[in-house]
Amino acid sequence: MKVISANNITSISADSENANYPAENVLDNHPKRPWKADGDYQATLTADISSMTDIAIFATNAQSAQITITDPNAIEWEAGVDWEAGVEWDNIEISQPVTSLIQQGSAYALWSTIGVIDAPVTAEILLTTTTDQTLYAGIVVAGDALEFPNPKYGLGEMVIDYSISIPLSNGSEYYKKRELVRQFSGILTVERDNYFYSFVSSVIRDNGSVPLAWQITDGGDNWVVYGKANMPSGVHQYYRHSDINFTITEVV
Amino acid sequence: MLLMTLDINGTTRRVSNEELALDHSWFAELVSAPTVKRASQQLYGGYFAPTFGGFTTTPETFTGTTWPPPKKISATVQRTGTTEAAAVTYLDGIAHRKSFDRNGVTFDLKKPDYDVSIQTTVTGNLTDIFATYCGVSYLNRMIDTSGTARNPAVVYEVTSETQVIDVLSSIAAFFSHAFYDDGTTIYLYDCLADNGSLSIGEFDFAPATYQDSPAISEFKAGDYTVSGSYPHGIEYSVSPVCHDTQANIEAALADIKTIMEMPGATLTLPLPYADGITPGMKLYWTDESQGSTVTAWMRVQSILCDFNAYTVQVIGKGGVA
Repeated sequence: MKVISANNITSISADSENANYPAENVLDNHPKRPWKADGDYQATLTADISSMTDIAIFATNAQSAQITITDPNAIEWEAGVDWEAGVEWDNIEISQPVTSLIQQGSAYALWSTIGVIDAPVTAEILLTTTTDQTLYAGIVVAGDALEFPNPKYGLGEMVIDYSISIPLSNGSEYYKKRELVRQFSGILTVERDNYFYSFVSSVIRDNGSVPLAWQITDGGDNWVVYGKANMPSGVHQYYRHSDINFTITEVV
Repeated sequence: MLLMTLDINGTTRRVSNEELALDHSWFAELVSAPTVKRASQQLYGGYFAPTFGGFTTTPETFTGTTWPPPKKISATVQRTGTTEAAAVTYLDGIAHRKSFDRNGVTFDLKKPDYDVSIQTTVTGNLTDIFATYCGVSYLNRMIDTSGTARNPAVVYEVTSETQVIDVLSSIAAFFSHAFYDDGTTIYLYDCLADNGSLSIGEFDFAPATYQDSPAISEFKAGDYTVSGSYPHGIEYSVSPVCHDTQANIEAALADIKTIMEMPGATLTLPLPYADGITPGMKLYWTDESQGSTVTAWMRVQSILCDFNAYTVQVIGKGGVA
C-alpha cells in the first residue's frame, strides 16, 4: 500500500485552459473542481516538482497519459568537451510509455511509479480523452510515496451515497442522484518501529484529514483513491508488530 | 442547483451547497443555504413578497481575500435545474454579516427597497391604479393584469407618507387580489380565480397537511360588517378600508370571507417542482394516504424554497372533498 503524503508540485500550467477552470484547480483538494482544456480533447499539463517517486491523477476523463520527466536545469555542454573515459554526464530525462488510465465509474485515474528523483524536475503530462469530449482533470499529485505492507485480506469496500431522498405520500421516494463515493477499510499489521509510527506520524499527524493520494493493494488487486483517512486506531498486540485499523473515504 | 454569486470587495466568489462545474466553477462552500420564501401579505391577497433566510459559508469563502469577513457584501441568489443561462434569480441584494467563527460566516440577506412613498387619496379602478403606480414615476415596472377579469373601484385615503408598494398591497388585498414582482414586471391576479393550474401526481408530494383558519363570526371593515359562517368564532378586522361606500365594502368583505373560510393545505414537493409553480396558481391532487381518499386543491399563497432540505413547501387555500 502506498500513500503520497505531501504534494510536491510547486506550480502547474496547461497548454489548453478554460479560463473558468484553470490548471491550478488540480492542486486544490477538490476532485469535482477540475481543470478543463479549452475545448480540446488532448492537452499537456506541465508541473514543476521538488522531488518525487510517484505521480497520480484523479477524476479525469483522460483515458491515456504519457509522462515525461526532465531536469529544468539541465546542462548542455558545448561541443568539443571531452570527458575522461568512464565519466558520463546524465541529465534526468525519463519518458514513460503511454499508459491507459483506470476507469472509476464515469471518470478515470492513474498511478504511475517513476522512481526516486530527489532533485527538482519538470513533468509534462500529455492527457488524451475521446475526440468528442473536452479534457478535464480533478487532481494531480506528485511526491515521495510512502510504502507500507499490504492490508490483510478482507479489505472492506463500501459506497456512501450523498444523494437526496425525500419520502413521498404514496410510500415511494423522490431520489436525486448526487455524489457517491467509495470507502475502504482494513487492517495493517506492521512493524511498530518503522511502519506503525511512519503511518501515524508522517501520514496522519502531518496531514489530519486532508485528502491524500492512496494506492491500496491487497496483493492481487489495487485501488487508486483520492481520499481522507479517518483517524486510525492501533493496537500494539505483538512483540514488535502492531495492528492499524484504517478507513479511507473518497472526497468529492 | 443553488447558485450564489458573492461580490467580496470587488472579487467575485461563486458558491453553492454542492460542487458544480457549469460555465463557471461553483464552490461547495455553503454550510447552510438560504431559504427563499414568497408569500402574499394577507391570506386573501396583497403583495406576494419575498423574504430570505440567512446563509452560512465556510471560512474558505473569505480566506485569501479578507478576514475578518466584511460586514456587507453583494449577493445574488439563483436556482437552475440545468445551466447557468437558465438560472432563475430570486434575489439581487445585500448580505449583511451576522456572525463568524472559525467554522464559518453567517449572513442575513436583504432585498433592495422600492423606496417610493406617497400621501394622497388613491381613486380609480384597480388596474388603472396599478398602471399608474407601477409606472416610471413610482415603481418603474411593466404591469401585467392578465390574471384578473375584475376591476373594482378604489377609494383609499393614504393619510401619511406610505411606501407605494405597501399602498398597492393594501388595495390589492382589500379587493382579494395579489401581485408579484419579477424585477421587470408586476403581475396582478385575482385571488378568487386560478392564475394557471397544475396537476400534482402521487409521485410528486410528501405527506400533506390540511389546515383551516380560525373560526370567524364577523368580518369587519370600518363601520361595516359581513357575518361569518361560524358564530362561535372571533371577529376579524380588515384594514385599511379601500372604499367609502357600504355596498362596495361589503362586497369586498364577502370576497375575503369566501377565501378565509376555504380549507387550506400545505404541500411539500421536491425542489425542482418550484420551477412550475407561480403565485395564485391552482394546484390539485388526489391524496390516497388520508383516512379516506380525498381530492384537494389550493390556490398558492406561499412558496418556500428550502435548499438545505431540497424541497419546496407550498401553502394555499382551496378545497378538500
